[in-house]
Amino acid sequence: MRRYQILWVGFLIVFFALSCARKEVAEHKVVTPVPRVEKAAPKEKMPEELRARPIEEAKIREEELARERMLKEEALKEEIAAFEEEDIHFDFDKYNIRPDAAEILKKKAEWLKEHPNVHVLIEGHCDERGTEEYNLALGERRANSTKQFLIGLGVDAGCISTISYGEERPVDPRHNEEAWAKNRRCHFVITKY
Amino acid sequence: MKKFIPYSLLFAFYLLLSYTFSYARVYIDINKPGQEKIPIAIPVFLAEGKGSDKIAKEMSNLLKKDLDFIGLFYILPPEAFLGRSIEKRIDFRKWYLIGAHLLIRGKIKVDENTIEAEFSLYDVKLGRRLVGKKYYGRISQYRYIVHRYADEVIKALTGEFSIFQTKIAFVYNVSGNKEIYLMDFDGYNPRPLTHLNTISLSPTWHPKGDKLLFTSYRGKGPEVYLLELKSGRIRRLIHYPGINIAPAFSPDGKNIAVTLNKGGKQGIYLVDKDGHIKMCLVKHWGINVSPSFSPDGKRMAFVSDRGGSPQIYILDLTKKAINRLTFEGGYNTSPVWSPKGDLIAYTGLVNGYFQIFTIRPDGSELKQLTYDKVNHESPSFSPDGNFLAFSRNGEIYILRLFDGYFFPVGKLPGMQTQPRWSPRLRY
Repeated sequence: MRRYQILWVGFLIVFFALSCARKEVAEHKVVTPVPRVEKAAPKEKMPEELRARPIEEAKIREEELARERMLKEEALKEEIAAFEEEDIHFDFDKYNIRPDAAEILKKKAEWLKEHPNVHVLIEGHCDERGTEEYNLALGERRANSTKQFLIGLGVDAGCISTISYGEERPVDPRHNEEAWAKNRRCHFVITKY
Repeated sequence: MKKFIPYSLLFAFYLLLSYTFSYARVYIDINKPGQEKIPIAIPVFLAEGKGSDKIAKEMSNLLKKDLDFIGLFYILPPEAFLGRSIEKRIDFRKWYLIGAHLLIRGKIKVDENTIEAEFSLYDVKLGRRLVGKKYYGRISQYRYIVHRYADEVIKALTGEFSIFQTKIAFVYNVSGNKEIYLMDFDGYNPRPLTHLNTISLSPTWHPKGDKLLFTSYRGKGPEVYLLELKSGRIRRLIHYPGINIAPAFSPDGKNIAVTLNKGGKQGIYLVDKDGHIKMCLVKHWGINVSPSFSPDGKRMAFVSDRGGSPQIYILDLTKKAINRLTFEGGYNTSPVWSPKGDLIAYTGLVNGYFQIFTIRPDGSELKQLTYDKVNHESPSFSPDGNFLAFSRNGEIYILRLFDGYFFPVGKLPGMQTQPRWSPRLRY
């Protein structure tokens, strides 16, 4: 008997909590647009049709802004995807920035300077040849020289962090020169924007 | 309350009745190459108790396998001495006539879950017992009873214990992750030590054999973790910003050498057992990695690219001087100092393939040990200094230094890399 009582009380509590939660959500939906509408509406009394227009206009403006924001966000996301997609590559057992990599890094530096809120993580990678430990150290040097290069181009050092994955995360798992060339790389990940 | 029986105590459980005859004569000098193999007879052990026949056979086969591992014996085929195993009084003359110089006899008694085993090694020519031991333990642990006796046999013949009471830690890629694993020296009983579901690398033994360090990506980047074998407890130990890789205990086990990045420069630092930096050992704009101490702790081998390619260097810790050790080849890495201090083994690139080499710490006597056109990496000395474990195309192999013979152990699917041989653990 007692167990049933407890169950009932529990059920009631859950029910109450759920109904409260639903109310809160519903209220939120109503509350947010209201102050803006009030601001937009003139203080004097107006006929119903006239009053409706500014509300609609505000709504449209709001929607437009939201759309603009969304487009901007989407554009930024695309830029980030493009930024992340382009790796730079290294010669075997080397961590100096090659001329082709320097061109890419210049582009990246410009973009980073235009977006000062962006934080980038540089991942240093190696091909599978050589010992794991040496490659961890080599990957660190690759990420580090890439970071130094970007700093040299005026990117804020505080926005760049590095990690070495050594030979642990190849993009191409095959065991040939083509795969190795792809795997000797620095990869870029935007961690904050 | 969890009931917990430590591994070492389990083995201490074996009642050991020692009636060893100490012998001055050294039968085998393991360091002398080209000597003849000693013919040894190991008849199937006498068995008493329910189901003991099968165990006796397995145990005698394992003892043969152990002694064969060393490569110093010619194990006589059983056809040579059919019917001779059950004789009550040993007729040494007959054993000598079939060519045996040494003879091991054993007797086991099985009772429910326990086993009593008694073994004796005889010099057939002299008709004398060299070492006899009696063990008592659980049946499930019979392998370790055999390994213990095998160690006593080698001790009696060479003056030093062998590798029968050691294990090998290694990195094993399972389900896309790399975990730290442990197996017996002969590849038996591989088991995971970590379940971190990330990349874990570079296991390194504490000189006492009760702890391991390793590098793992469990946190933000590569950091060094400490694993206590008894409890299985894992603790993050060295976690400076940047990298924390390739740790190595100093021979006294009090300090750890590790590669860190401080102020954009990669260096090898000495940290204490809690991970606090004591001093910088090596610092340079390039790569500095893979430290390995000499057994006296006075020198440290490491890898650097300061000369334009990865080469092995030796830091003299008292003189603070750095000297280049390797000049042959354009890519030499992963140095390990031998337990006796006489050799450094490493991996070197030859015509596109990585091979195992040894060299004396003064740079003399460079020897290439492997030649096949596959990659041989990450050598690790056995604690007696007579073997090297290494990975060969993702499989763990063991190489006998005195005759250069090597063979796979473990034989697991997937990739096994970075084998690290434990100190002698005393089963």
